[in-house]
Amino acid sequence: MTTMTLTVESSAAARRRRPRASLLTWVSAAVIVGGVLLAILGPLLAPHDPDQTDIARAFFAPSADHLLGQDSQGRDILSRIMLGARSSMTGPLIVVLFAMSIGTVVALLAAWLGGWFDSGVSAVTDIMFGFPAIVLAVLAAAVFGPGLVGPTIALGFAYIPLTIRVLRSFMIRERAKDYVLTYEVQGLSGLLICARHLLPNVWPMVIAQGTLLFGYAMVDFAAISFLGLGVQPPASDWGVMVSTGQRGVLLGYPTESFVAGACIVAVVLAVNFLGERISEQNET
Amino acid sequence: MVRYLLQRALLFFGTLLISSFIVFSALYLMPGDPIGNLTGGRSLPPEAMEALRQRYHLDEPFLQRYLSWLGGLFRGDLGRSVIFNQDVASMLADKLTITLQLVGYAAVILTLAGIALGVIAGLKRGVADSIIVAFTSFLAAVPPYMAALLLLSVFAVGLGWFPAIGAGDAGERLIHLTLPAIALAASSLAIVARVTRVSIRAEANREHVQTAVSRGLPETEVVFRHILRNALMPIVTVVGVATASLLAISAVVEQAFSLDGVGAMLVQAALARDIAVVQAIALLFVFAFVSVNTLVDVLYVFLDPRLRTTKELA
Repeated sequence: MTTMTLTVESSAAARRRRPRASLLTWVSAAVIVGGVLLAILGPLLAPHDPDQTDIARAFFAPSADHLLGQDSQGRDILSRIMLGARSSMTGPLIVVLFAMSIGTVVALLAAWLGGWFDSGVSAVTDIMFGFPAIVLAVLAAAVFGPGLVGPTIALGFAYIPLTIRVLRSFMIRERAKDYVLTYEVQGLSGLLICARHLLPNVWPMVIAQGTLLFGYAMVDFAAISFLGLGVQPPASDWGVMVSTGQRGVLLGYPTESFVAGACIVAVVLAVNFLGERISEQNET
Repeated sequence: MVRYLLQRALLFFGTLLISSFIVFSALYLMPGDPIGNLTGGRSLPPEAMEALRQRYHLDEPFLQRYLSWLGGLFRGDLGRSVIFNQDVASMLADKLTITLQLVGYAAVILTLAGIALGVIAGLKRGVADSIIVAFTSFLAAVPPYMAALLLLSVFAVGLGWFPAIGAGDAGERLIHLTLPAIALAASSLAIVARVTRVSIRAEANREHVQTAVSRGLPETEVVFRHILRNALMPIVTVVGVATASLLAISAVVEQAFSLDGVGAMLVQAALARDIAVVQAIALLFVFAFVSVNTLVDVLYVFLDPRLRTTKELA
């Protein structure tokens, strides 16, 4: 496994080698593209004002005018789902960008420098693993008050140890490869080798890890909103809708909770599937 | 072995020390002055303010304050809720019972059902395996709040088999906690089942198992003594990690089923910004999480005789 021959492969050859994408890959990609489009265009596409209440039509079943029916206050569920995409996906995105950028740099440094720095990083990540992300997020919500700020900061930090642990092992493996040693012998600076050669080679794993992380972050964000500590009602947000729909569940009208929950599960399944596909294809 | 245990002990205390420091610092990260945060912005009589200041040693340097807070924890003094004007320790006592019952129930479900499903899927190929794999894939993807609402909708509201909210009296506790425990265990159960399946399958293909089968040993003996015993290590790990993480998720499930447990108390305290209570419970959760994980690591030594003789094992 450690013996590695130096092969130069044209991008065309790499493309030919790649197996054909399966149906599930296409479905996953479609779900993600759909989610992103909703997050951008949701307010334009929504058929109704998502905050327009109509108590007389509370819990009304789906109709031609309201395709997914109406919630406990008579608001149009479809419009709220469409608007909710934005806040449900931006929070996780910020968390992923934050955790991944710090995690990647630290993992790279640990793999490159080795020695005491690496041991130190490993020890700190081991210790940080003892702090469940949700608990940290609740603590942050108590400190900064309910809203998006606290949970975003908390989850951003909470995911760093996981990122470091996963990426560090790939980078250590990559660092030991012959081409890196060759560049070192040739006298290239460490920074140049890392930035120009090592990082681009592990980049697919970074992307895969970021994709998986997005799924975790989305589930945790919705949990925080469900607890009432994240996005606040009456804002349209999938996690908030799962929570506000709870009254409907107990009364036998579960549409609001279930549709919002289905959106979360669909996006999470899609990113998980794609993330796993990316890492499978790039396994060395 | 001594080295291994020492390492685990070091990790255990290191984690507790650092997390207690983070939890303690949280109070000082809050915008505004600590005393105002402790009272949640309420105005208290001057003598109460003075008592708070003394209790939290606010006129001493930061590190000293942290150490005296830590010392208080060791003596069982978890702080005082300003909002309920009660000691946190006494507030926790009866809520802890519900949460421990819930988590214990869920741990039993995820261990028994998870391992059973995993063993069946691992030993039997074909339809049973495919069904279990599909089912666990679905379970793993459903977040606890959705599992809770689905169960509520179908079994409590729709079929009326189980009560929807509350923990009930001691006599009906079991039936009241059944749906919450299933919701809590669901996604971890799926992971336990999958790890068990892979581990069993890898073990079943090994030579010593084929030898045992060809010697004509009864199937149950082969499964229990030759397959399961060797496949146990990864299973124990995943059951341990899954159980440890149940406590953090319990807050969500308690909220969904209106259970009056520690998780619900943590959320209420966070909403009310009752920081002393949040600190105590957050630390309690971390403590439980780390303890279970350490326990699993120590359990290895007893499960795997090789660890007892090997000097180097990190």
